[in-house]
Amino acid sequence: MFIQPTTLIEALEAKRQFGSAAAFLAGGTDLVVLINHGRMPARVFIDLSHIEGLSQIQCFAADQCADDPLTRDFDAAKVFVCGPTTTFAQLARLPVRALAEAARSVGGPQIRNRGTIAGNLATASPAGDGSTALLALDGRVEVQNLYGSRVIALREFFLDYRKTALAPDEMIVRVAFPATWLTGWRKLGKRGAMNISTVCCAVGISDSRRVHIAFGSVGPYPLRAEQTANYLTEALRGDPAAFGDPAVQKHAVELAQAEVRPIDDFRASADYRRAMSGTLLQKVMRQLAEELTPTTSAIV
Amino acid sequence: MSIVGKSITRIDAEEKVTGATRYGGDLYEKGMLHVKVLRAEHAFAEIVSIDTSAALALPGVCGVYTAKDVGGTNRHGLIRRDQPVLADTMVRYKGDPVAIVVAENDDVAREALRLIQVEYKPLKPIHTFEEALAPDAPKLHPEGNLMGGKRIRKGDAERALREECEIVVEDTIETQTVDHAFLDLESGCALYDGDMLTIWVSGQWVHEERRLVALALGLPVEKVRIIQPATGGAFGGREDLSIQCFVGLAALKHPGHKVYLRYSRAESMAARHKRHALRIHYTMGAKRDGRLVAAKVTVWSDEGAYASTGIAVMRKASSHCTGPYRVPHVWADVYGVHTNNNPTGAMRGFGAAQLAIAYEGMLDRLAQELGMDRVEIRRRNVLRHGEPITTNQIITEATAGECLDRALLQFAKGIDPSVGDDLAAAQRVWESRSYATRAPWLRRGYGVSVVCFGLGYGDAFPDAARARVRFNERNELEVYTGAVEVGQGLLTMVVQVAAEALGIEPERVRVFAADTHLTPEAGSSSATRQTYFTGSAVKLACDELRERLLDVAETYFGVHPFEIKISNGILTKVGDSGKRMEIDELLSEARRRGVSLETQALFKPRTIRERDEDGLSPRAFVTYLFGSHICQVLVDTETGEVRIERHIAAHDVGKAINPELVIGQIQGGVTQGIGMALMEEVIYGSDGRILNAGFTDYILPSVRDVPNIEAVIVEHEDPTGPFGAHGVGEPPLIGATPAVLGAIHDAIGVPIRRIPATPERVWRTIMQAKAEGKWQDVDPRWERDVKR
Ligand SMILES: Cc1cc2nc3c(=O)[nH]c(=O)nc-3n(C[C@H](O)[C@H](O)[C@H](O)COP(=O)(O)OP(=O)(O)OC[C@H]3O[C@@H](n4cnc5c(N)ncnc54)[C@H](O)[C@@H]3O)c2cc1C
Repeated sequence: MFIQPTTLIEALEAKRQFGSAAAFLAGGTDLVVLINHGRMPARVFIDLSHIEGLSQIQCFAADQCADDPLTRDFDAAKVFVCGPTTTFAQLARLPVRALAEAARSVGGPQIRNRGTIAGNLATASPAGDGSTALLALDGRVEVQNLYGSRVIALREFFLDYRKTALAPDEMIVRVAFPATWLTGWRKLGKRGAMNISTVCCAVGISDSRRVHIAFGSVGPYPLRAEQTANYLTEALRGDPAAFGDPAVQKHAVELAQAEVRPIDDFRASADYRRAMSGTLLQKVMRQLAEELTPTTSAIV
Repeated sequence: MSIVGKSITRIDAEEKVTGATRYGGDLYEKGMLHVKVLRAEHAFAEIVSIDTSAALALPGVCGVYTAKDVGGTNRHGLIRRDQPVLADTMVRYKGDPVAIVVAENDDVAREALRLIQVEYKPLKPIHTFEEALAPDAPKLHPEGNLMGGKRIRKGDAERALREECEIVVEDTIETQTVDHAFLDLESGCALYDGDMLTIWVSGQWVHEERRLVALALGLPVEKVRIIQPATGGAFGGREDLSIQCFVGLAALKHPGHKVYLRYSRAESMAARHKRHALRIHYTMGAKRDGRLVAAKVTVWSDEGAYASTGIAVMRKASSHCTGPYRVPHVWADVYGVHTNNNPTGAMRGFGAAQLAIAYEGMLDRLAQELGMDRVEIRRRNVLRHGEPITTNQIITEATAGECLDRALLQFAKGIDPSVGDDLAAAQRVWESRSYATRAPWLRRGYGVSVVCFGLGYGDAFPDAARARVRFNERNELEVYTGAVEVGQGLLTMVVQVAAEALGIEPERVRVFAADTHLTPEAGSSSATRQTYFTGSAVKLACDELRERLLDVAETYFGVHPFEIKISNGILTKVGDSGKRMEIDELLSEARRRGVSLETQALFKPRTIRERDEDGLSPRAFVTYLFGSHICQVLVDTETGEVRIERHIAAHDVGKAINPELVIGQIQGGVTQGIGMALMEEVIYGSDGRILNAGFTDYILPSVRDVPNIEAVIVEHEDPTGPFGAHGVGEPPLIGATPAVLGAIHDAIGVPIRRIPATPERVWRTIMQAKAEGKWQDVDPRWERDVKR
C-alpha cells in the first residue's frame, strides 16, 4: 500500500495504525534498494514528500535554545535544526565541515539530491556517512508519535546492527546539531564517488573545546570513540597545539584502534579497518591542528 | 580522402540520445510469455532428480523445462561443446542453469522457480589450482581438471638464464577475475512460427550463435534466425551464448507465442563467463646494459567450469608473453585448470592483457635492479622493423618505439608546451619529472607501458568477413554485413569505408547488419578485428562496384578510368572540372546497360598455426598493433589510496577512419584498464557464490577515478587494412593496466603482486616492505624535488 499524507499527523496516524508493517518513504535511496532485493519487510509505504516544511534548515542562537530540549546545552553559540527530509545536497552547503564533507561524499549527485538525513539515521547503516558525522557533532533527534515527542541523543540512538531507539510508531521530525564547532572529516573507500566507506572518521570540537569522535564502518553501527575523545579533550586543555603533536597523535591513534570494533568482510579486513581508523583520525587531527593553532603548517 | 579520417557523427547517435534505440530489454511487449532460469544450488553437485510437478501446477505457469526437453545436443561452447544448455547430470558452478520456467508473468515465473524440487548430491567445490590438481580431486569433466595448455620453446631459455644473463629477476603475479559489466543486460525475445525459430538477442557473432543454437536445440541451421537488437557493450561478454537457448527452447515449446527474458544485474554476473584469473611465474634475464636475453614464464589459468574460449585465451597469453620486446630465448608453459568458479572466456585483452601486466611488471623490476630509467630500458628492447616477435613472426612494421616516443612527447607537452615535437626536449622533461607532493606520505609515481596485440583470431583459425553491397532503386548504397555493432561504432565505420571507396556521400549509405537471414557472415565483433576484416570486405565489394561504374563512365567521358574521379557523388575528369556527371545519372546509365549493381566480397587472410612442439609460427596473426602508455599517480602511503593524475595512451591504429570514435575506444579501454588495475574484482564465497554480484560491490571506476585521458593517435598506415586502418579495440585496455601498476610501483618502490591494487592491498604491500626493511619513510626523490 502506498500512502501519501499531506500532514504530519496523517503520517503519524498511518504509522500508528500499521506499526512495523509500514515504513516511511523519504528519498527512497535505501528503501527502494531493499525492495528491489526482496529484503523489505514493510508492505505499507508512507511517502513524506507531500508534507510541507520537512526539509527546512534553521539556525538558532544559544539564547533561543534554552527552552527546547532538542537544542539546549549544546556547548555551541549556534545550533542548526533541520527537518527530516533535508537532503545531502542541502547539507553539503552548511558551514559545518564534517557534515558538509560527509554529505558531499555520499553517492553521486542523484543520491545527494534524494537521500535525506533522517533516512540515513533511521537506516542505521554501519557505513552511514551522515550518521557518523552527526555522532561526532553529538547531535540529537526529536522523534514523534501520534501522542507526543521525545528527544534522543544520537549517542543513544543506535542500538545494534540496523537497529535504533525508534519505536514502531515514531518518526524522526527534527535533527539538531551545533553550528559553531570545529569539525573535521575523512572517508576512505574504494573509489572517488558512489563510494561506500571502508572507514570514515569525524571529529567535532565543541566551543569549550571538548572533543567528540565518531567512526563509521568499524562496528555494527556508527561508533563514538569516547576514550580517545576524552584523552584528546584533556590533551587539548593542556596544550592548544596538541593536535599537531606527533606524540599525542600517536597515542590517540592507538586508543582509537583499540576502541573500534571492525569485522572482516569481503569489502575489507578487520585489520585494515582498525589500522585505518587510527590513520584517518590522525589525518583529521592534522587538519584540525591547522585551525586550532594556525601557525603549524599541517598537511593532510 | 574526403570521408575516411573525418569524425562524422555516429550514424546511430540521434536515435541513441533521443532514446529511440531499442535494446534487447526494450523488445518487451504485452502478451509475451516470461522465461526465467533456475540456477544451481551448489557450485558442484550431481543432480539426482528434478521434480517440476509443483511448479507446473501453479496457475499461470505455461511450462517448465529441463535437460530432457532439449531436442539437440544440449551443449554449447565456442571451442569445445562442453557446456550444457540445461544441466543434466551435474552442476559445475553456481550459475549453471538447471531448468527454465515459462509463465504468463514475471511474478508467477519467479514463484514457480521456487517450487521446482532438485535433489543434489553435493561435492566439495574446487576453487583453487591446488584443489583442482590434487590427486584425489573430483573431476569436473571426464578428461580431468587440467583443461589443456600451450607452450613456447624458442632458443634455450634455461641455459641462457644460467649462462648468458647478467641479471635475473623473478616473481609471481596474480591477476583477478573480471566481469565485463556492460550496461545492456542480457535480454531479448524469440518466436517459433512452426517453421522458423527467430531469436532477437545480442551476441557478438550472429552466424556462430545460429550454429550453436541449432546444434544445441536440434534444429537445422537454416531454421534458426538470429537478429541482433541494438547492443550496449559486449567486451567479449557476449561471445559465449547467454540466453539464446533459453528463449529459443521456450519459443519452440510454445509456437506462435513470443517469449521474453531479461536478466537482472545479479543474474547477469552470476551466469556469465569472466576474464581469466591468472597466476604468472615470470623469470626475466638480461645483460647489465638492460638488453633482454631470456624469459621463462609459467602461467596457471583459472578456466572455471567450462572451456568457453579458454583454449584460445591460453594460446594468446603464451604468444604475447614477451610483448613487443626482442627476447631471443623464450620458454613458456600455460596450463588451464577447471574449477567450480564461473567459466572464463573472452574479455577485451584476451590473455594478452594479463601477460602485459607480467612482462611490463618484470621490466620495471629489472629497471629498478639496474638503476635504469623505465623508458630507457624499453627503448633498448622494443622490436624494430623486421625483427621477430615472441612466436618468431617477423614484424615488418614494428611501431612500438614510435608509440613510446609519441606518448613521451604528449607527457612532456603537458608540462612544457614549448617541447613541440622535439623528442630530445621531451626526454629531458621526462628525466626531470617531479616527485614533489604536499607531504612525504603522499608519493608520486610514473608508469610506462609498451604493448602489442595480434589482431584477429590468428593461429590458423578460419577468420573471414564477407560483405554485400548494392545500389537500390533510390540509388542508395545498401551494405549488408553480418558484423554486429556493439557500441564501438562499427556501423559508422562501414558507412565511411563504403562512401570513401565509392566516392559517394555518407548519407547515401544504408547499413543492414547482423541478421543471419539477410546478411553474409562476417565473423565476430571481437579480437579487434572488425575494422580490419569487415572494413576490408566492404571496401573490396565497393571497389568492385566502383570498377563497374567506371567502366560505364569511361565511355561517357571518353577517357581512361584512371582519369575519372568520383567524389561526393559527382564524377569529374581529372584536371577538367568542366565535364561532370552525377552518380544518379551514372547509375541510370548502368542500369540501362544491364550492369549489375550488386557485388559481394570475401576477405580472408590466412594465418599459420603455432606449432604444438614450440609454439612458433611465421604468421600467427595477420598483423600486430602497438601502443604505449604513461601514467602518473599519487599514492597516499598511509591509506593505500591511489589517484591517477594523468594518463596518456598512444596507439598505432594504422589509419583512424573516424578519429573521434578511435579516441572513444582509447578512453573506454583505458578506463576499463584502470578498473582492472585498481578496483574491479569478482569475489567468490567458499560456496562458489559471487559475493559482489552487483554494482554496489563490484567496483567500477567512477568519473572521479579517471583523469582526462590523453589519447594520442599514431597513424602508421597498414597496407593490408582498409585505407591503411587496422584496429584499436583491445590494446588501450592492455596498455593501461600495467602503466597504472608501474606507476604505483614507482611511487612506493615495491611492486604490487596481486591485483587489483585496492587501497588495502597497496597498504599491505607497504606494510610488508616496512617489515622487510625495504621502506624509507621519506622518499629521497621527494626531498630532492620539494627543495627544487
Ligand atoms: C547508489 C547509492 C549510493 C549511496 N551512497 C551512500 C553513501 O556514500 N553514504 C551513505 O551514508 N549512504 C549512501 N547511500 C544510502 C542512502 O542514500 C542514505 O542512507 C540516505 O540517507 C537514505 O535516505 P533516504 O531519504 O533515501 O531514505 P529512505 O530510503 O527513504 O528511507 C530509509 C529508511 O529510513 C526510514 N525513514 C526515512 N525517513 C524517516 C523518518 N523521518 N523517521 C523515521 N524513519 C524514517 C525509512 O522508513 C527507511 O526504513 C547510498 C545509496 C545508494 C542507492
